[in-house]
Amino acid sequence: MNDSLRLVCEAVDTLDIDGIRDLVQRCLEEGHTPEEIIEHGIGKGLDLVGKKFEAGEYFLADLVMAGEVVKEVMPVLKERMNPVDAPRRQKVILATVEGDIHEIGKNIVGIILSANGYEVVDLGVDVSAGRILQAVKETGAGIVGLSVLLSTMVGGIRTVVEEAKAHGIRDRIKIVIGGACTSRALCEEMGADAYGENAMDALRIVNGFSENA
Amino acid sequence: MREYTVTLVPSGRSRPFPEGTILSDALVDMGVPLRTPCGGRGLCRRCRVRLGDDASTEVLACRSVVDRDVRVMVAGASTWEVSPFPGLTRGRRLGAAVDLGTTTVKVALVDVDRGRFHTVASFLNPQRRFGHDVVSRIAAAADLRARDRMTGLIRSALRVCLEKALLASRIDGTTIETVVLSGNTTMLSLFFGLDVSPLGRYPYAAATRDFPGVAPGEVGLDGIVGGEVKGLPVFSAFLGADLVGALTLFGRTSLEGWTLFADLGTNGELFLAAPSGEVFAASCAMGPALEGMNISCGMSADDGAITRIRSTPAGLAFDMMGTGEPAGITGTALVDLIAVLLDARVIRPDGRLDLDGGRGGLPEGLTAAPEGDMKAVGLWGGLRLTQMDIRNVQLAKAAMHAASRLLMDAAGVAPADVRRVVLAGALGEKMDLEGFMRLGFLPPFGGATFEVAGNTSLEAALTACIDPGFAAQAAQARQRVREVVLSEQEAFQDVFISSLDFPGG
Repeated sequence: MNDSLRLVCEAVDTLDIDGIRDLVQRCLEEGHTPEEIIEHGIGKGLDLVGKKFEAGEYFLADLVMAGEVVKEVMPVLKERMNPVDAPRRQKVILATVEGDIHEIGKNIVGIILSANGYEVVDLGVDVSAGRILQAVKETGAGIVGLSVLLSTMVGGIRTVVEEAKAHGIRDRIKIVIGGACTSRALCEEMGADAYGENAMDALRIVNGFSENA
Repeated sequence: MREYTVTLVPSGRSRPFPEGTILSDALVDMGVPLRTPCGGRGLCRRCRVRLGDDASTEVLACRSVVDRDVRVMVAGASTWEVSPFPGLTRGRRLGAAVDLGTTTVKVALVDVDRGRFHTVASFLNPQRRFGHDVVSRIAAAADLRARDRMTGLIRSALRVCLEKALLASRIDGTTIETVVLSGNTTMLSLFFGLDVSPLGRYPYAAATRDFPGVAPGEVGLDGIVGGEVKGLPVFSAFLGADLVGALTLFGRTSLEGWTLFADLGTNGELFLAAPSGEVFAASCAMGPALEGMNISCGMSADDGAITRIRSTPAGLAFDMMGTGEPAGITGTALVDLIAVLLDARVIRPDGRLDLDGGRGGLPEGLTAAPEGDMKAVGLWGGLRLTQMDIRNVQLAKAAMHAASRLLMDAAGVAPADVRRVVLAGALGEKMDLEGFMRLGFLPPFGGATFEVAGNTSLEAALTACIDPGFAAQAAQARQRVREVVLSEQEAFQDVFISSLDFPGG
């Protein structure tokens, strides 16, 4: 791979918030398109961050920092993107289900998805199924991420699934669940579409859904 | 669902169990006080039993399920014992104090008139099979049969424990006058057979905050208890009788400056008390790491457990209970170990293991022992401390650190204003203060004095056995409390994440 792109990848991987601007600038001066920089530099860097997180080498603060590093350069890149070529990434709605007010995990998922170019609509915590579906209709989002920490509140997932059916929009959205008390088995039980074990897993799932969309 | 019969050999006692029941659970239900200090993960091998007519097959009860009719010989397996109350004779007025922990239950007998007491037993809460923390138990209790099971399990464990304690103290047949329970709101509610569902749903309200005396027959303690069984008052869903009890104990002495009290447990509870009498309190989810439970090499203090680790000129030395190969390490040893590794710069302040692909600065006796992609330090007897274990300790310490910071913010005081810091909890008792602060469970306080108060939850229950006015005092003390709900604080996320790092060396 090109040296300058590799350096951007490394800067993301090593959370180099001070260095990233200049490195991205250099890539642009060398004639790389913003899309190339995002895909081969930033995206690859985030993959490495994710691998380290899953091995316990990076921790929550590092994920937040990785998000900050990417945020540092996204405005510059977006500005130069040709609107026609710009990848049309999906909108993703995030919410902590009704009855639960825990949000750190959800916020980290939001940071990682935004850093990867998704438009994240975060509805906050203790969000009713009604509000979530209203947001789906208003934004046209195709993916809904539901966070639950308290095992007492997992029923909130089913409520969203059922209400989406009742509104006739179940087929239009993918429902991804995550949070301390969730699991693959719970995902099946509740009739959701996917379970993300952590923020990086959530990104992989959302990538998969948006490619197939 | 199919059922199979479990038969004890040689007694011949038998009982049916649904297919898939974990054998150690079945044995506990049959009154075999089996010990599972590693929490049923097959690490400590203390629950070895023999199966079959000829008792030829040895298995770990915690890793076996009931999938056919089975005959079990438990001789040789490790069962928990009670410690006799020395010098106790018949005819005394007896009380029993119980600290009903999410993970660990402690029981003491009290010689009411002489004001003497003795801790007779400490055992893992048998409700653990329904989940390791209060929230998962609340969730499990949504199924009423499961709720009844949890209630029944803890009541019968307490009954068995008290019977054994009286027998061991050679006063079997006597009745205990009063039983006083302390513990978190969920544990008390489940013991008294109450609905716990509101505790698990925002805004997490406690339907019952007082547990006045009930007849022993209502809680399965008839025959052994003559008077009443009561719980100490709680403040809210997550500020339990343990916190209110500690506050009441402290209320008996005057405070000369801001005092921070921290009760370490699966659910950590803290209060910050002003000399004026104002009290700010918070609870935080620390998880069971310090009780050795979500740590790959963790176990509770029992045979085979490494209980302390320290640095010596000749390398690392450890204290162990019992003999043979170490089977795991306790929460206190875990804190010791991480402190040593921080000082050796093997663990960086951000919690990363830095092994440089080799030994790095590892103290003598330890090795680099990666587990797949994950870095880990090899300890003794095949035990390992993994990167994830360190992360779980960080989550616990960040929870408490963030809670104390947000309490101070709410009260408008700086760490330097705190004059006195009191650590309590079953762990606080044995915790090395230096290691505790080295890991940064609390921020540095400058001028404060530190005290280790031991198990104040049990102490409150003991005091209530001796002093009938204690529960009323506790209900009074409770009125001064202002709860700071951490997850409702805007700064919570930032404070929590910035609390994850260990202090620099």
